[in-house]
Amino acid sequence: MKEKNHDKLRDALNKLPAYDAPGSAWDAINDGLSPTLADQLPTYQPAAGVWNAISRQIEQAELAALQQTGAKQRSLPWRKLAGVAAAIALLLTIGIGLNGVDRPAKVTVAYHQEVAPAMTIHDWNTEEVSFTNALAVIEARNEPKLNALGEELVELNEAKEEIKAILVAYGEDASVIRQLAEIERDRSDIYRQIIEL
Amino acid sequence: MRVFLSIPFLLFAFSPLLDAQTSNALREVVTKTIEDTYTYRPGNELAVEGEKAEIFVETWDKQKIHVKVVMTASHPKLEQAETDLQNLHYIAEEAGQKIFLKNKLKDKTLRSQSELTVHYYITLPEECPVYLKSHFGGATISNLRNQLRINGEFSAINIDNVQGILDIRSRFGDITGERIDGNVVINSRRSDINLYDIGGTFNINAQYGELRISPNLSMRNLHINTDKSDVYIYEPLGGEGLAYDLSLNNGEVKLPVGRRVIELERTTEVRRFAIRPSKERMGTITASIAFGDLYLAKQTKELKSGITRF
Repeated sequence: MKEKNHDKLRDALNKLPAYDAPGSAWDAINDGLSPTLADQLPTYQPAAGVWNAISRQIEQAELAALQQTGAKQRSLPWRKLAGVAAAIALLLTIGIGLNGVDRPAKVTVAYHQEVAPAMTIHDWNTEEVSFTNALAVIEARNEPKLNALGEELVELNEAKEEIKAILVAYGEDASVIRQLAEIERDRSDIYRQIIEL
Repeated sequence: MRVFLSIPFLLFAFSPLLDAQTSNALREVVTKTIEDTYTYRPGNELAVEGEKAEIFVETWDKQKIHVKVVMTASHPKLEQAETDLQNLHYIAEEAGQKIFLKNKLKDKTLRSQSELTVHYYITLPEECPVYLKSHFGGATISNLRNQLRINGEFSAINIDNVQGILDIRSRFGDITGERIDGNVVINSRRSDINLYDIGGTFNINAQYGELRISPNLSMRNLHINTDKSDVYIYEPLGGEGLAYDLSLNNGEVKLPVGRRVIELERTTEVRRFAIRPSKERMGTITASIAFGDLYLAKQTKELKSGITRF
């Protein structure tokens, strides 16, 4: 609320008479303030064990704090070491794994020249009619000894066909032609035995 | 003086040179090499199926199987050699514990103008079981210690310093073995067999072949059963502890002097003999031979020609 006649009010207040308090009043107040309320309360000394226990707790707390701090300070290298170890282990695992995992085959192509072998004369089919006729005779006569020789001849004929097939499929190889020559000699031997009977 | 040389004269005069040039003609060789390595673990088995391939198997102390396959095509024209080589296919597969290697022709009906060859060079741990199937070509195996199986046709088989269980089948392919010890079974047809310094237990069945067997003192049981084959057995030095049971059907026999031979049977076709050990029995050799001859001699003796008919 705003005072509208502030000056008049001030003047009126200034005109009022002033009175001092009697001296005893101040003494009585002073006496009432001393002793203070805290001074008036009874005091008790705690047992020595209480402080010792508090002291130990404080020391342990400080020690724990120190250890924790130390652990924190050392934990960083350990973590680093653990990290490094983990990385090494991982690399080793990958290395061993890669070692165990078979790598793709290595393929190379090379070129060179060599002296061509002499041409081979294909003369191994010139006598086939004789062998065919021999088998026909064996079939017609149907005798045990001849039949046994015929079986041998058939086996050798089949072997010869296998060798000829390889010569066609893989080209002419001297070692295969030698095998063919050996079969031809065996066939000739059988043929001679057949015509003797 | 002017000399007139006609063309026929020139051709005649230089024909030897032309022939020489022809015989020294060069051809192009294209070589494709494939190298692969597999980690060996106990239980693994290597199987190789080669066609027109030379297979070489060797051992090492690494726990790995190394494979080198060399395929070549040879032809006077480089393009033709390359084309024919492309038809040659190499396959490598792993199925469970087994590793399969194989070569074949992509188009079997294609007539190869080039000469094609395949070589396998395999190095593996000695304990790795090996199975080889060879159709033409050959197989050479050494230093294995576990299990070896071979099925060969038209393929020469060479075995050196192998122990363990062996099962060898061959048709039209000679078998040569040296330093073999173990349990061995051989079945062959139209194949010659030459075994030297062998011991253990052998069971050999052969038709149409020539067998030359030289056992050592560790031979415990050698059983030979042949048909239309000649058999040569060379007794080791100090082998007087070996006992023999020999049977021939339509065959002739030559036995060593100095051993007491007991004749057990004699007919026009069948002959049976026994030779008892002259000291503690160390092994038994049994041979049953039909339509073939038997020669028995000491290893240090050179076998003399001539057959004694009892």
